[in-house]
Amino acid sequence: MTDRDRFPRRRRDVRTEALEDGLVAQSADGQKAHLLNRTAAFIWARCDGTSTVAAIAAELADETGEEPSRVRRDVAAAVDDLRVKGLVE
Amino acid sequence: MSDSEAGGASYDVAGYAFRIGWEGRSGQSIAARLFASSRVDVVPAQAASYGIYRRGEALEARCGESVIATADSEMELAAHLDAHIANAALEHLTGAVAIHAGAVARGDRTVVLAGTGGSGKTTLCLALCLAGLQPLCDDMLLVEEGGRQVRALPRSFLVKGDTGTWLAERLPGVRGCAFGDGLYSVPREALGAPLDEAVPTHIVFPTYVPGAPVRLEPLGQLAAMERLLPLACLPYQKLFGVVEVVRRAAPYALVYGSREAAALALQGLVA
Repeated sequence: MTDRDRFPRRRRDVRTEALEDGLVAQSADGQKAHLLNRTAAFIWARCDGTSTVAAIAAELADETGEEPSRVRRDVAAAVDDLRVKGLVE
Repeated sequence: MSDSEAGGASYDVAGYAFRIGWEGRSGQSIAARLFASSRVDVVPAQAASYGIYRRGEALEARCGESVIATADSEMELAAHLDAHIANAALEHLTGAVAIHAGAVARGDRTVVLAGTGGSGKTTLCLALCLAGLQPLCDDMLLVEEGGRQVRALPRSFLVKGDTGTWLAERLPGVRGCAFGDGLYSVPREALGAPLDEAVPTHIVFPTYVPGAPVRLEPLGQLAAMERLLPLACLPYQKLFGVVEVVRRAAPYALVYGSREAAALALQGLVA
């Protein structure tokens, strides 16, 4: 399975609060706060365990009108970053 | 009073009750200057107990039997004692988060000035009080659980350097609050009718840049959170009270090189 075929899922023990232009996410252990911008929040919201990275990227490319292959790379990197932060699994 | 006379008084700072005992004029002076507006007649038996003593040329502050600070001057010891009691009061409070911020209010509008040391919180609070706004605090603000309201720790403003001299020129009564040349402990009452609680309507992040023209610009909520998080003394389980302040109060970035020009711009927010 390649990265783009993976099904990232938001960790259920992460608490979030929406801002007008992003999201505040608190790590599962409650020790750290992460600030997500609009794009990262868009991706985070779609990490539901049923959408692949490729599907999330396609949706984001539709939304923004940006070039799909670049969006796929950016979404894959963003999902990796969310994983490193402990916000998705 | 001779320097050997002993005394004491009781205080209540945001629900943190304590007694301060002293030996001599310096101790009485420090206690009075820091907590004049928080003095009470009766405190619970289990209240914390502080002492201020002279040790040769130095001054010493104790909490119970523990030495918490020694200093060569009243002002220096006052700063240590002030910080210690503020922290103790914060630990005592449950459900509130402290942020490094001052606040002033006019009517139903409250401006929170959030920033690190040297950003001008005290200076701008003073300038706005001189313009008729009511003081809450100049350095430490409590965000109540849920973030709907902020509370002041009712302490005197500690004013240092040229800001003290600047203030004394505009508010001559403040000269009586001097610790030394250019150093003042100004009771909130000297600056206007103090408020202990308010609902923040604006949160401003000041940056002092010598010589810079004043620039007051709206900030996005995310950028405001980026600036506010390092200023919050968080247990992170209380994070969302701080988020609520940013959602409810309009955030601004302020760059300024002159306190008068900055105060004028900020008054526009509460007009």
